[in-house]
Amino acid sequence: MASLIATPTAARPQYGGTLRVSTHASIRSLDPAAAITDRSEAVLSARLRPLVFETLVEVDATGGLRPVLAESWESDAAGARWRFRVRPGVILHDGSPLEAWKIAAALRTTATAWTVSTDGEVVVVEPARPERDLPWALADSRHAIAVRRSAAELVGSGPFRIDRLESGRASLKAHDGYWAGRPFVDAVQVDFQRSMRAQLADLESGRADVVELQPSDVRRVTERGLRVVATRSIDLLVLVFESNRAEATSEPARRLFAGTLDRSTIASVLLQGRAEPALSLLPTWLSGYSPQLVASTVPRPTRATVMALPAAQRTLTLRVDPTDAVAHSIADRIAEDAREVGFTVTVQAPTGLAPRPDVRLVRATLESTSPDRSLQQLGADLGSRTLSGATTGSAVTAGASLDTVVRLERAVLGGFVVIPVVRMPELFGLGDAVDISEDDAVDRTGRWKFANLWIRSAARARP
Amino acid sequence: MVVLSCAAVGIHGRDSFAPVRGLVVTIGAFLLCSTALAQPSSTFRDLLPDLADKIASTLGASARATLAPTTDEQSARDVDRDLAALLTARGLRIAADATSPASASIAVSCGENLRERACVAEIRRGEVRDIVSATKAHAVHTHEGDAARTLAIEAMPLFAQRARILDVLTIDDRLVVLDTVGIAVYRRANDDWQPIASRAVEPPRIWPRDVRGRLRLSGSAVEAFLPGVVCQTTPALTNFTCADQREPWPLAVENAGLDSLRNTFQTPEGTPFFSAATLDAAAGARTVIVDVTHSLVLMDETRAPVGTIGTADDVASVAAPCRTGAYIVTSAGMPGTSADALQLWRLESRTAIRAATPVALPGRMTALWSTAGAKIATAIVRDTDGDRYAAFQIRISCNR
Repeated sequence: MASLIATPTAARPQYGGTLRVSTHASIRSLDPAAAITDRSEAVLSARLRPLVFETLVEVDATGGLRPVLAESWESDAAGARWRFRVRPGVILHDGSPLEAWKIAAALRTTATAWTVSTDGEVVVVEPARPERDLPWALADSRHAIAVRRSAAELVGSGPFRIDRLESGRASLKAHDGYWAGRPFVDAVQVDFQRSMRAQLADLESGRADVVELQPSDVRRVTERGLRVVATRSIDLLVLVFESNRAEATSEPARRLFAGTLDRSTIASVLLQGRAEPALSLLPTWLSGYSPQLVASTVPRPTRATVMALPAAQRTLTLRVDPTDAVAHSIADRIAEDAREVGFTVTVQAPTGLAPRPDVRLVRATLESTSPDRSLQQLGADLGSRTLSGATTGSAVTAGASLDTVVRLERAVLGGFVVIPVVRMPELFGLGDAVDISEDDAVDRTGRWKFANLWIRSAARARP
Repeated sequence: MVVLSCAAVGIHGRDSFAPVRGLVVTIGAFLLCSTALAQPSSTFRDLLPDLADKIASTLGASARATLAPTTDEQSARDVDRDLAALLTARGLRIAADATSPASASIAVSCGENLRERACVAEIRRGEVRDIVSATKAHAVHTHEGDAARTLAIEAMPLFAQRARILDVLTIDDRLVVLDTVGIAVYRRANDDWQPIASRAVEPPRIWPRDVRGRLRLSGSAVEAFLPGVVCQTTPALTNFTCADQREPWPLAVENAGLDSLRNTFQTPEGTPFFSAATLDAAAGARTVIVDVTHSLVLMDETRAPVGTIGTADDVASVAAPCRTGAYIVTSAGMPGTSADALQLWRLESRTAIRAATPVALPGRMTALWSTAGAKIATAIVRDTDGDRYAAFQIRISCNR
């Protein structure tokens, strides 16, 4: 009897369908020039924006840069004048060709300190001061090319175009003329402000194809046969002392408090091995140097040592974002470990007005891909006042040399005003109807790569 | 960081018969990192002179210092050793013992981030701590589509038999197979190889245990190189003659042929080696050899060693059809298995950068030869399960 070789699943991607994505955050605009102060909105914008607006170059998640809208680039020796040759054949979402003058106009909006001009199909960028790694700045989605047809209408070149952007949802349509090949799906629908619990339910019931996951949900999702994709460790949970506790006289108390942290247990037990202890602000894959060069480690203090502190310094209010359940559980664990040796710690997760805390547990997401810009961004996220106090007024600037970054990071950590706890990846669950044609659904630095996804028409069970 | 993880495993592949201090020894075991060559100390060697300059400038000539190890990893120790030599050459006095009194203590960390490779040194003098660094940016892919393409190693099975294959050579629709018994010619017919002719090679003496052989098409003649024997014939195996003589083998490095009692060649300068590959100019060296300690040694035009980039059992050069640059394939054992893996590396300024996912082979590799023009390579693998030898054509493919 003849038999056939069984093919378990079709490997050739199918076109069509709508990819349904859920997120806990929301955005009001994808405009690269928009100033966004809310952390979760900024993170979501950085994820979503590259689907619509592309940059001249892109950071390769394995290292180095690769061309996107610029097919090549060069500079003089000092980095004072950069020339980017525009990729030919790129069609914008309105059907018009991408031209050098359109890129120049877009860059003048997002980088006002630069002089941007054109030379035929070359965009010439002259930064205010020489920048030897200017392409790394241009790889940031805040310098994505958005062509302004009017004050409200922006046109991009990415794999998807904006169809509607409403308060609770963003709807994107596939760009048929995309220069790197039309996406497999016809549309992407991103639902905002879905709680983590609701997202998990959406994934399990088939109402969503891509959702955010908490570390504690990973086992449950994989046991159901669904896939989990993870970025590199780009989320950092860090303790930041408020200015009333950041002065030099409180340093012994902060040092002892840092010694009570049990990072390994938090990473391996509380976060189920989905996190790693953080001794430095920048992870090694981003800094290139050992955390030992900048870490300020202290042994676990004895109860007697802590009790020798003035009572006021032994009492702390630890504030945490009430919407961040993972951070809340970590804060509880930190408080418990500190109480064991004599600290009195109250965890505060206020939804309204609350007394001023002494220390905050902050989640920072590393959006930049170079050590100098990442430290600069962390400075902004953690509070520039706190950091400038810790570094005696020094500020991290983009383009700073690596030894400057090491020096500043060590200065920031040296005073125990800022204490890293754990770092973890961002986790996403993929529904059983969705498949990946190549690469990944989310790259290692966190950018969404939804043009790579396709939907199995037979597998989709619409609610 | 410098080394991610290491595991102690036994050596495999070609045995080493290197005379050491008057004794003939077989190296029994060595540390094979699971990321062998991924982050060897040589990855950062080009940064060390700049770092040494900055340290010397900070400390001043004739200063005394110790190098404080940051980790216990071999490659970190290699970095410290290389840096110590550079600092000594700049007039600093480096104490070998970290506990000895010194005016400064230097701790070095080498690693890479997305933008660059970096070595950072912390210099401690009492309460004063200075930081200096040396960095080098990753290569930028400016060619259209260059970065979008990923490279992959393709191992295409050519032929298999029970007798030990030494080399194979394809000539149009024919396949010449050199084994320990002789030479055979096959013709492709209906997706199979049909034998046409064969000739026995009488060894003038007992073949060495690790017998090696090489085929070359020279004009219309087929030449077979064996230990102490050279045979000549035609693609149809007519006019078959063998001579008991030692002649240079067709390798990337000038040599006097295989030692009839060993498995090594020698450069004209007397350096014994297992295999060699020609390099593109981008590599910053002319050739790379696997010496008898299994080190991958880079050599310049004068065959002077200019660096070491890791360890391997064999090496061959290959060309990437969609990329420029110098590429080599190396073989090394897979920890915990009895099989080898092929790895692809791009050599740039005397640094090896992993260029593709390693490919597991169905057994131990017994030969790896570059073909003429170094476009593709030939690998011979002993399939331990099936007790047979298989010949593979190794090439690089480009995928979008």
